[in-house]
Amino acid sequence: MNVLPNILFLFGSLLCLNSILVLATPAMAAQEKRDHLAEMAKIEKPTMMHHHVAKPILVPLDDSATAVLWKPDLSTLPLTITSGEIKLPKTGVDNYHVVVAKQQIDNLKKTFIHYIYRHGKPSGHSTSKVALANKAELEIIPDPIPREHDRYYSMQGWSFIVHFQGQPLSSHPVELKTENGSLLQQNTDNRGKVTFVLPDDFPNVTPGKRDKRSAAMTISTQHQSGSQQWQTQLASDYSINESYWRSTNWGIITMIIGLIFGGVFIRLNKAKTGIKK
Amino acid sequence: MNYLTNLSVIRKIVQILAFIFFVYGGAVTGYYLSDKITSALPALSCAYDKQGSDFCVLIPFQHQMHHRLGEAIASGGNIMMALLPTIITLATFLILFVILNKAFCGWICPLGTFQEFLHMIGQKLGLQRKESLEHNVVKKIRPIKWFVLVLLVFTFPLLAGLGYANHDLGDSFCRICPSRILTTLAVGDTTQLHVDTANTTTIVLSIFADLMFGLMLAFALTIRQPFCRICPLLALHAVFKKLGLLRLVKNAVPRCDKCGLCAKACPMDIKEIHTDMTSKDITFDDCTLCGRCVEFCPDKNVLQLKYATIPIFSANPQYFKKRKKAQTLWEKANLVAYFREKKQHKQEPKN
Repeated sequence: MNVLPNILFLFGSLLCLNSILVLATPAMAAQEKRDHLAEMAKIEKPTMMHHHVAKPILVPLDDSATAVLWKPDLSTLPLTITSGEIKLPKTGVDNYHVVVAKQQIDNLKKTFIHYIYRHGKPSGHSTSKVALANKAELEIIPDPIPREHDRYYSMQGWSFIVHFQGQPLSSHPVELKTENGSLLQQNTDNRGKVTFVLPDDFPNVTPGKRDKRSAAMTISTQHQSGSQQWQTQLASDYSINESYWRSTNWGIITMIIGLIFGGVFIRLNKAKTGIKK
Repeated sequence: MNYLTNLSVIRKIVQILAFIFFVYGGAVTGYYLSDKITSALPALSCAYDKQGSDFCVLIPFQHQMHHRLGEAIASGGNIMMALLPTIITLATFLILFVILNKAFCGWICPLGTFQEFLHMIGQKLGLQRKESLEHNVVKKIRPIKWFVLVLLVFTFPLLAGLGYANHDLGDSFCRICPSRILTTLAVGDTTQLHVDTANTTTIVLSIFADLMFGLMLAFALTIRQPFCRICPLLALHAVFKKLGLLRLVKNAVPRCDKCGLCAKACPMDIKEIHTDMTSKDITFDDCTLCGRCVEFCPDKNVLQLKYATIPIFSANPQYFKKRKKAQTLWEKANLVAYFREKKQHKQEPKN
């Protein structure tokens, strides 16, 4: 009896069986698709995620503020703020774009920054190019921005660098606020870097059940030099950590079962398999 | 034998360097996916590895089937425009593939390298190695890679895009790929070794992936290249193997019929290297162009690795003798032999 191919076929069959189960029940597949679309609709907000549809971006500045969209090649497009919202034009270029809105009220300069992924032709530029470009006098730069297909998750540590006029601001207070009510404060280090572990503050999360909710968060800081004041805010979304429904412990146990099974299989069957020394 | 003239040693050095570069090279190339070198590598280097320098062509293929072609067909969009990214990815893949052909498997692939090193560890631990699988077993295993390529890389993602299959089947191969688990673990990220309880599909896929990874670890200690035999990239390479410049060439002589050392040396157990007496180009579907068959061929120029028309490594009786001797020495040195010898030394004075 050749056990090795049978094992491989067994795994293949398991996988096919699962697919057949899904495919053979169109109602179930369609329901899952509807659920997914409903979930996506619920979470569709301006964010750093990989969305196809760009929703209007809420800007916490007056309509008199000026706003521009930085493209991956560092060219800019003027934007219009209407009733505190910005509707993004299509650029036809893939990769992260940055919305930068500025407003001056007497001696106070306010800046709002938001990174958003847009789809289109490959931009041919590294994401780091637009992140490192000097876009405002006082700027909070994600270090790094969540990669394409990635996003901010609760319980993860993410870093940000505070720059003032292109130079890092050390020992400077930075604040992180979330829509769910958390508030974190930290000071930057010598390189102007601050790292926050994003709060696990989503209510009613059920362990073992996928939950695609996200919430808004802002990272903000201010700086004063003489009578001039600067305030800046980086806005984004963060999502529930996947560890609620993805268990690494069970993953390790399953892998060990596979390992043991493989070892026992080889030991027991070396005489009767098609394996020859 | 001088190590630097031993093709297997040279290949191991290249494999180690390639492993380091593709698994950790993001420090040089950049963190973002837009920084990666080609995004269509003909080897299993994973995009989930955030420190990697490039990722395999199967990732964009699945993504394009799911989010471009499938969704374009479902929404009545422009199918040609939806196919354009796939054509660009395929073109990029082919440019790379023409240069090295299937040697991406035997010389570059991080997962292939890992399995080879596991096999070496198994040998050094003195585990009873399986030199080769029976041909009928090999023949039964061979079609699996085609099913994996057609079903998991193209069909399921396309069906997910069309709305006929679960969204989680949109990247069905990635979800079971051992390279995803290996490369992320290699950079200290344990999140990809998980059981995902989101729904039935994710539970089945994640358990399958973890079990298969465990099985691969166990099998690789005694069997050569266990996962490579069912790898969909091997199948994709087979489709385009005629375009590659690097090839395995055979100038058969009557002695070939009786010898068979080449087939015994082959890590993929391709018996046809030995039995095929008519074909000139013997870069078979399962071949990884590792060159071991050429090393262990005792007859001058019978087997050759050729780049276009230029022979770059040819079978040679002198090389064969040295190589065989080196191999025997290498295989003798293992923990079981060491302890056996030590035990004998202890017993000798008593006797």
